[in-house]
Amino acid sequence: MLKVKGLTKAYGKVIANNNLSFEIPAQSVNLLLGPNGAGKSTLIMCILGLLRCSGDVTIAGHDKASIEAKRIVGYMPEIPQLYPLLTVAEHLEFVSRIYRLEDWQRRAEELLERFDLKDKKHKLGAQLSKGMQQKLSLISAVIAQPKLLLVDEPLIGLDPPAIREAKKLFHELAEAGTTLVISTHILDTMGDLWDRSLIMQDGYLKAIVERDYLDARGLSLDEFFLEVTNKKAEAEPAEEQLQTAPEKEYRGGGSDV
Amino acid sequence: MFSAFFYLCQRSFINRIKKAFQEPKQMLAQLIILVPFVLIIASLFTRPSAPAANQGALVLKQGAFLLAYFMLQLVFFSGLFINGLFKTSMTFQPADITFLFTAPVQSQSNLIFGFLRSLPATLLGGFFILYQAGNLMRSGFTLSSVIIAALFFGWNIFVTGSLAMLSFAQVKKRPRSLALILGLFVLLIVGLLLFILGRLFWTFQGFNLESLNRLFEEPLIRLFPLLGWSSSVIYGLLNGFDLYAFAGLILSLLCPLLALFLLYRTRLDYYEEAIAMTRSRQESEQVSKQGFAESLRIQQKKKASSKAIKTEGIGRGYGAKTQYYRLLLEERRLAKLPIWLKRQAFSLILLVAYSVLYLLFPEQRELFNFGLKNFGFLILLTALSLLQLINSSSTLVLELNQAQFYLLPVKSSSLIFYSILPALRNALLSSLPALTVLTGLALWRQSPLAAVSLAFSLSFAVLSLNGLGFGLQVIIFYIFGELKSSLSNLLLVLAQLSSILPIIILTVSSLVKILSQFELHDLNYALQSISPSSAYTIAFKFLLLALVQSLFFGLTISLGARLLRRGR
Repeated sequence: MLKVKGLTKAYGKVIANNNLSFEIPAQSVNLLLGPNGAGKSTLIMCILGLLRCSGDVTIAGHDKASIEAKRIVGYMPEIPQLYPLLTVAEHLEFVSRIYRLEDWQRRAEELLERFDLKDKKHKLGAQLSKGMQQKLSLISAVIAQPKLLLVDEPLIGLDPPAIREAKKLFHELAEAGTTLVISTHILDTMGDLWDRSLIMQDGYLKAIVERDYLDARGLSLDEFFLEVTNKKAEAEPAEEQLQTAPEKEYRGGGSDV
Repeated sequence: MFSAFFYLCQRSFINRIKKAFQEPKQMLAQLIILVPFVLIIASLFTRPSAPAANQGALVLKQGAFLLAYFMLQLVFFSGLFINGLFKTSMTFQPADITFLFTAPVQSQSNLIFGFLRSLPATLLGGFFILYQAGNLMRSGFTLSSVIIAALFFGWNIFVTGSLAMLSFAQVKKRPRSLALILGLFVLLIVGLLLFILGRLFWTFQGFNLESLNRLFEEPLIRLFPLLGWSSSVIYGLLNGFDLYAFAGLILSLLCPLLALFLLYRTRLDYYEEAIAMTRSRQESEQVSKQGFAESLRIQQKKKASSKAIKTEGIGRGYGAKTQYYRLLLEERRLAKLPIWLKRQAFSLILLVAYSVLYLLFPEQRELFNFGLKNFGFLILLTALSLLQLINSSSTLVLELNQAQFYLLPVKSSSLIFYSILPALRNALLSSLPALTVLTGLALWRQSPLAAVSLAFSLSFAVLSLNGLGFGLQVIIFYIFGELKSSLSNLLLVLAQLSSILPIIILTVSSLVKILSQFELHDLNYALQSISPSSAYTIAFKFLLLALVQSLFFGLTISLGARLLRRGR
């Protein structure tokens, strides 16, 4: 579904994403993990074409900037950005028009009901609390039923019932075949709902690990994450050398690559 | 896609109106701002036109005003174009990044939509011209021409933005073309200015109404891109459409259409710059809501974030004096050159420019004889005062806004004094050399002692002006506790402006006296020329002023000390 090859994003001398290469298979749930400043949000924005970067990114075989790719991608940013002069309902109508959705009203009503925004339908974006903005941002990202959903810190600012609903929604989307990439620095965001984790640190992709691998060894994601991010690389990449692949891939079935 | 764009604009507009009615206080505040504007528009309809008998003189004044309109646009749009070349001139809303930039819509469509969405607000950009409607109509302008002048100004903002974006696209494709575009632009402007100066002072032999009018009728001016086109259209409205006016109208309308068409055809990758600009604007808006002191702190933080530390350690001072050396260290880290050196250079450049003009145009010395000494003093004092205003606005405000400042175990009055001392030092170092040069040029041959006395007293006066500014800041902090409310921020700005008001009034009234008469040959001098005896008198007066200000400053030091002891 998503192929990233040699993606590098630099801000002057600071390399935010260092020659990242990985593939995300279709219909999988992927966690993008890393401490603050690892480059997760930058990676997502590069994949979406919002930032200029070197390297290739294809989404379902299409170039990231193509209309075909954008049609199947949904995005929820870390900080919700809404139109201050559109109501909740109008935000969803706007998305439906721009994505040319049909029969979206029923789905919109259902999502608003689930996230307790039904009685806030006529409130303007500027009048919503932070949590409500976050909910609307999530609903706007999923209403077009994207095949690839990129979410950045989806649970920050949500109340406990909304967190439960969001997790449930991600389960449903995963079961329906949507490929999820969930960026977070809170490791237990998704509980057991994940297939692979991509672990980033300081702009590098330190490891990709499958859940089966950890289960086979009785390791928790927390322990694995700390081990990967705390140990020094055997050979620290020199400044001139760019990373050519994740340092290690850990697949289920016991094999390390 | 178009229906989505139209929907967004339509709903935003309708909801804005609905929101205004739901929040009567906000609506009232907005109506109060609109009232003077509405009154001006209403008065335009009731104002009689200028009498036909003076038509000849009116035509001359029209030409002069249109040239001024031309020059105003030149200054404004040059900055806009150059800024747009580096940062894009496009403004988007933060929500556009999430909803539009990621949507299945071509980036060119988003770009064109962004431009068109900004058009209504942009067209209002020139409406400040309506405030001059009275003067313009007395000079023979009709109501329609005044309104069209205002609309054209806004239209030209829109056109400049689209041209800047087109140039930005070119630069992104071929980065080396930046130097070429900038170079061509600068050449164009410099060439134009040289042409204007040359025509005025060599060909037309003077800076008067007739020469200004003749200058405006030059084909180069009337056909100059954007600026000349709009001025020609307005001239055509007043005196009948000629070829230049028709050409101006057609070119003004076609130019942005062509620019937008070319932009649409160019596959410009602008999202990153647009996101950076949008976020920067959003940050500024959020910071400004937190108050004046917080916005200063953020500015300082931004400046410091990219600096490399060359040496560490404050190195000197104990007790309250440490504050002085700490502030000096921070000042050195924020700027490559010392502040006072930059200001001295600025003041001296002003003086040199003035002297060069005086020497280059001997026929115009009647104007400059207003005279070199008097006007030079005024310009210099105004420039220095404005610079001191900027200087005095930041240091103490930042310190008083921090909680830890109130907890330091030192004598409060000393702490306040040493916090202000770097700014006072800069004020003295900035003003003394430039004022010494000026008084020396004016008086050295006649009386060196008078020159030195005047220089010192003026410097002392400028120094104590700083003290006055700081004193007012302390008072405002004492009353309000902190600078978060709009009222306290506004009072702070007004208080600081008032400390330099006497000098501003003196300079502006002198300028107005010159400009109020279109015939510039017979001038009334606002000030006497300075002689040694008058220099001593002026020095004494400034010294008295400085002493009074210093007394006030001393009183506010003790008030500041009480503030530190009391807490915010």
